[in-house]
Amino acid sequence: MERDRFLQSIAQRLGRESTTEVPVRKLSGVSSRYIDHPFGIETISRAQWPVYFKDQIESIGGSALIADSLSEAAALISDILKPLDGVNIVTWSKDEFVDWNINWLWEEKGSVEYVSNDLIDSSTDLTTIIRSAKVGITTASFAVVNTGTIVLNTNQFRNRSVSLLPALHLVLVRESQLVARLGDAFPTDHSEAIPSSIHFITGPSRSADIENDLSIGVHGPAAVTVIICKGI
Amino acid sequence: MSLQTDSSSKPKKSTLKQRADDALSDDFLRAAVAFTTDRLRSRKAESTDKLGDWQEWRDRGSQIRSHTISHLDYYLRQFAEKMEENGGHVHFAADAAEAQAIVLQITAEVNAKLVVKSKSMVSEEIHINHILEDAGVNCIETDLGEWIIQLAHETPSHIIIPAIHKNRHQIQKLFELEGGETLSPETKVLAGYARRKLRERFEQADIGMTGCNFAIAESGTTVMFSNEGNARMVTTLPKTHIVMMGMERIIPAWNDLEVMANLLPRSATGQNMTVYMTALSGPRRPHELDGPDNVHVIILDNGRSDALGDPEFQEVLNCIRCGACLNVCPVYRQVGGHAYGAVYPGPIGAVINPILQRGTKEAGELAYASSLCGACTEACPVKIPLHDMLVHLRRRYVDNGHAPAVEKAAFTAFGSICSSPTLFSAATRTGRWMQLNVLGSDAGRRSQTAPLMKIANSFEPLKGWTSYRALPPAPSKSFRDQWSDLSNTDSDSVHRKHDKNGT
Repeated sequence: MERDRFLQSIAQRLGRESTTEVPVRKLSGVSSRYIDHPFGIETISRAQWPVYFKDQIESIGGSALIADSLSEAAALISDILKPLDGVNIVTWSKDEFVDWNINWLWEEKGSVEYVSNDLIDSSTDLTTIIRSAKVGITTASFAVVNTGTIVLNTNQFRNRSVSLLPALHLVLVRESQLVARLGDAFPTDHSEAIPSSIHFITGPSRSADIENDLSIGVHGPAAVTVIICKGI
Repeated sequence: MSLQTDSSSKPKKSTLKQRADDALSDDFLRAAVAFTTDRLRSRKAESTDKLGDWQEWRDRGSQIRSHTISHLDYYLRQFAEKMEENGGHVHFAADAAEAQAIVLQITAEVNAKLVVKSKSMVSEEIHINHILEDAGVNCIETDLGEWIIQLAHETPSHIIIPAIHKNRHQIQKLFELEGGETLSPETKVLAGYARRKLRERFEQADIGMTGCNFAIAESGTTVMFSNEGNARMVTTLPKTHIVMMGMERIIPAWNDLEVMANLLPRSATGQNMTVYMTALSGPRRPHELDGPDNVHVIILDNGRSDALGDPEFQEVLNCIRCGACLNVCPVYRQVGGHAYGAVYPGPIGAVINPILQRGTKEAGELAYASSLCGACTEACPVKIPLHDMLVHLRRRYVDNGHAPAVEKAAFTAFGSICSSPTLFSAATRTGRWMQLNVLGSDAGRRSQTAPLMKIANSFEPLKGWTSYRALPPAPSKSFRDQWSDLSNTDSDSVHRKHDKNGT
């Protein structure tokens, strides 16, 4: 049905003409009380955020490790990957990880950065990642503390598949990227183009569709591990 | 294959009563429905208690939804324009037939052989799976529960957990039949099989089809909540993405999404957040490696606008499809979703199906599958007065002349008896005689020993009552007869008696 006619008939049912005038709103979004108290009855100081995030994500089957420095973070990454020697690792663009000092990930571990490059036949690459990658490593735009959610905004350097197709998703987060509540991670400037996709991920893939019995990793990653680096 | 699917999985032609009887005699179903609804309900209570101020959240949710619906044309236009700026295509469909035609046109354009779907109630509403199969396009549900019932040629029995009526052995058989492999009934094995098989399909598919929980007008964004990750799969790998969207799914702004994201997962499953909340704004941008090249949003009316401007029903469009009303409904709890015989089960289904099915007699009958206890209204995160709507629906059902002839005759008789004192008093005495002789005398219990019980049990409309229920016997003296005695008592003596008792 033609758009104007469709919208016109809606307006008619509502008893008025179709309008392009911005509607007046009495209220929108969450309450100021929630903005002031995003942890409900609990008061959680900023210093406690990393641990609170860890508790949240662990309560839903994910895991989080807190590092005091970048070198400690690199050591944690190495520890996680050690028992997985020989599996295919895919990552976002190397540029996303510049100050994490983990060049060995590509140079020694043979990880593959999966980015836009006109010289690479991307469809072949995609097939490889679908079929064989076991670990996907990304950074994040934000991590939401009160729900244990990581937020990924995609662009040409940060694709969708790395956080989705491998069985283990490893996420590197800086302490400064922690925000209290979901709304703090939403895009605010709508004059700029919004990312084509924004993913809010809270723990590993789950389903209770077989007799209410929980199964983990039905389609998405079965393991989500977040490394939070303090002080950056 | 398409023929088989077609004939077996469309809702069966049967009456509400037959379907309810079927459900009541299925012990596994009843146990599974009771277990699932209990669990979802207690988890909801736990997560809303922890959040605090739940009533205030509901208020905000209700106000945001009501505001949006009363300016629906404005926000839909804004959404469509923004989605087009983002590079997506927006289609408006007045009814199921138009929506089907648009989908078929898109599948023809991209020469699609395989469509992978993530859960979408709107797509069930327009029977798109059958339409695609008939057009020679393979169409696969990828939500684990939806895939199970697709393989079984059945329909969902719960909006959130569609296959609660299937046990693991049935699921094992369905999977073995599908893949020709021998499996075991362990959850891990069955889920692993689904992961492996559906992975291949995601990779092969030409089109990914999803529903849409919310559409944000200010940025032209569609938002999906999911737990398994299949919604992400079907919007990452296939080249074309079709979004099926009921026209009321809109919200004005991102900050409103935060309210909905606090209401929806808690009300649906008691999760603080679903595993995935995916916000998509058009196709992939230049140099992005994955995501669809083409995004089509199909916005469907299909009877929804009949509720607009109707003071009794407009609020039903506030619904965010959480299923909380199912989990608290004493009727749903006993019979599960199939008994409703329509796409949407439970209290919300009883209200919304008549709108989608344009007031047909079958759909209207669902308003009677309720005890009007109001638990649904209490549970609704956006405060839709569902049980009031069920009463309005019953009135309309009668106004439309759908009430059974026996009921009409009974109420006509009731009317004339009650307007004549002589007839009324004669009727109460006859009633007592009838109850003793026809229904039996043992108070509160069903008796098959009353002389005329057999007769009562074989006649409608008496049968509907006497087969399942019994009333305590009527007292030998009716209230009206007692009243005349009471009026003759000295009122002073009554008062004195009371004083004595009080001191």
